[in-house]
Amino acid sequence: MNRSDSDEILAQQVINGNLTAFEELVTRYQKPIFKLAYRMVGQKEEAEDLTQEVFIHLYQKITHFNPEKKFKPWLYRVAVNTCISRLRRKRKVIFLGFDDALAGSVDLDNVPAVSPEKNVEIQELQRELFQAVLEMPENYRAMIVLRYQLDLTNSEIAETLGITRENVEVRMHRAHKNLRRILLGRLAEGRFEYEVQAGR
Amino acid sequence: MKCKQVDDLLFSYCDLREIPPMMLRELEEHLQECPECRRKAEFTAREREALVYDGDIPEMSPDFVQRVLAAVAQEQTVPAPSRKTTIWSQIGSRGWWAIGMVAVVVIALLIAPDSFKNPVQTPNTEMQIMESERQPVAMLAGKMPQQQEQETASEPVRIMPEHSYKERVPSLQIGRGNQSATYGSPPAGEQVVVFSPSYIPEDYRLVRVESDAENNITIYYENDRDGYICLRAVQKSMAGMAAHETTADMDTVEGYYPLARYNLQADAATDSEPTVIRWSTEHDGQHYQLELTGSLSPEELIRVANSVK
Repeated sequence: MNRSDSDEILAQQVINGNLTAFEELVTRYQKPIFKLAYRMVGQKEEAEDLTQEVFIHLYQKITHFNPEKKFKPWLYRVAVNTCISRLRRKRKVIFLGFDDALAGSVDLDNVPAVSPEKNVEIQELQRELFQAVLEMPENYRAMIVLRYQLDLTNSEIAETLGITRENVEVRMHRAHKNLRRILLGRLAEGRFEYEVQAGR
Repeated sequence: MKCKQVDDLLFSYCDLREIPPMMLRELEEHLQECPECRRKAEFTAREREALVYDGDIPEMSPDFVQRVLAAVAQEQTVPAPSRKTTIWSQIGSRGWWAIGMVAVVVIALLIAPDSFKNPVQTPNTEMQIMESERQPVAMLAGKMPQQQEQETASEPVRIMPEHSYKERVPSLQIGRGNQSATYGSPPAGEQVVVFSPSYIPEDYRLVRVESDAENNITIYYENDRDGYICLRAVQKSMAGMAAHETTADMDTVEGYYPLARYNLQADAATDSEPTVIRWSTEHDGQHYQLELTGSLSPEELIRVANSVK
């Protein structure tokens, strides 16, 4: 095994029983997978546990991988599915309000004004935003995390999730709206020290 | 360009994603003229900036890679043969269904071992399992007890040793389309009523049945494409029922549940999102709240709900 080998070559070596190649893949991808898991579950220990589960799944299912295709989307798909399965197992029954953002439109009129004097610390917005992400339905959460945290393009997300690029665009749009609605809800409830303008 | 169109494009615009040049020009012209949309664009840009932030991601344990390798070695997880050659894949969905139904029957027998002494006596429209052990039980079809324990470690359930349920299941007489039957004679004491669907989509299989300390039964189905269905029945006392339940749901009694009463809580357009149906019913003077959740379309989930007895 050579450390400069491509992911696909390493995967083929893992299929052939090379544990060193597997170790190299874990080393390469532990951080992005952990980042994905952390943004999906919001808790370090669980995220690390999930990351480990992803790599064990990877090892167990590596023979399903076709070395003629790209490895990264395949791994991310395993990771997303593992995270979503964990979240569903945890929640058992998932309740969504009928007026959830899934069904409604976003009232963009209530977005906070951005002015120097009302400028909020970016860290606060980040913290609040990622809490909002954790309140999103799992599938939308995955879309947002893949796009912004793993910096995937629409085409890469489509390849990862096994859906069309057009479908990604539709889902991403819904995910954005969903996120905005949750974020504005948090702002309106005063969980965030930020001035919310009521209407125009 | 109108404000509504700008709203729809702002995410893409601030995300630096592809917008056709013509639309981009119109959008930017609109932003120059419309202070309200400009304000929204500024907020969206800040939102995007925050979304890519990863400075708060904790450091991983330094020994993570070694732990993964140890876990792989400890569990003796070797790369599995491809799906085409696995035993389980050869069993297929029918086999899984059978295994799942075995789990249901095992639950029944664990709860009512004495009732097994009597054969099926009276066909009924409900599966009634006589309760002689008020013990929470969890079963995972097709998996060893150790695996079950790992997967349900946070659940208030008791895992039965494999030999325990094997001894209690000398034979099985149940299959798909389970028009349920009453097993044995009702002993004195409380009954555990199990609600289950007689219809589920072809590719779904029963994977787990859980019972909590109050003997509320939850049944899980999954398919190979990450789809799932979850049916949970919770027994409610009249005193404990919320006001809205007694006024809105209590007339949905006696077995059949009118669709109008379903609390359908999802958007049909969001095909991959979970759909939830909740309704209530009554059996032998007891009230039950049923919750059916799944990644099916609302129409399909309603079909499943209609088959629950």
